[in-house]
Amino acid sequence: MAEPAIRRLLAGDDASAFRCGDPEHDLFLQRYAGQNQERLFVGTTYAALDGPRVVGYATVAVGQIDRDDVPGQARGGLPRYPLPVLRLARLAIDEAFQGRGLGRRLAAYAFAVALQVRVAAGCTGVVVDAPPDRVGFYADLGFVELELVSGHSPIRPRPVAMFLPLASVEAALP
Amino acid sequence: MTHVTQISAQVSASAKRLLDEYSAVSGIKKSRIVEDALWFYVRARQELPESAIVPARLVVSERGAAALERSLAQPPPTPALVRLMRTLESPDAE
Repeated sequence: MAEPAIRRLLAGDDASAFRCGDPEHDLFLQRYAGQNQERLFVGTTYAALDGPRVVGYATVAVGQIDRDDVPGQARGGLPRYPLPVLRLARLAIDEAFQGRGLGRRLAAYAFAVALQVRVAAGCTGVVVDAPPDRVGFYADLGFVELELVSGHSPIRPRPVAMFLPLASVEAALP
Repeated sequence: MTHVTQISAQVSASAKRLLDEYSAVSGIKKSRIVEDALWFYVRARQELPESAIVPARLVVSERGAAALERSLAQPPPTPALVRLMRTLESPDAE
């Protein structure tokens, strides 16, 4: 069986049968991913396709990290300006394709998109909204947990925000 | 207009300037612009649930900032990241 191809979600892609085990992720793909991308420009979804059928997806959006400035506290070594990042907000795989490494391929694809954004517009790293049961996977990749004051993902159960600098991704390239 | 009431709100100087300028150019009363804007906003948010929008701004705590600072010190990639990036497929140029 050929590996699903990954590319940007297009209007004709068939997501109607997508079932990942979390109805909220299914609904997002079927109803909102397209309009977020084509009408609102607030996020882009990359789809893994088995023929015309979407069997996995990753949604990314640009963002920035600011520090909660508390008067009287040192800023440490962080710059004063916001840090531009690419946020990997959603990653879901159809139940029939789970356990085949497709999630890893989509994650790597999202990192490659971040490298492109870095060149095109500036980007310091990737923030992933990791489901609680996937924190270990991202920690193995070098992601560190970020304690947020605001900007939490609205997804429930609440994911863990984790950061990986793009310099590490670039250093890992073959 | 029936059942009118008054509201007040602290807004940014730029939002106030936008309201003033739009009212002056269009001739529409500021109260009408605010009323219409609220209705549009609420309708738009009802069409698009909270969970469909990713907040663009993340604010980290002191502890989060320290973790970020350590991460930005560019530790070498982990073996798992090196293995993952070997599978990389280049995004299509669009």
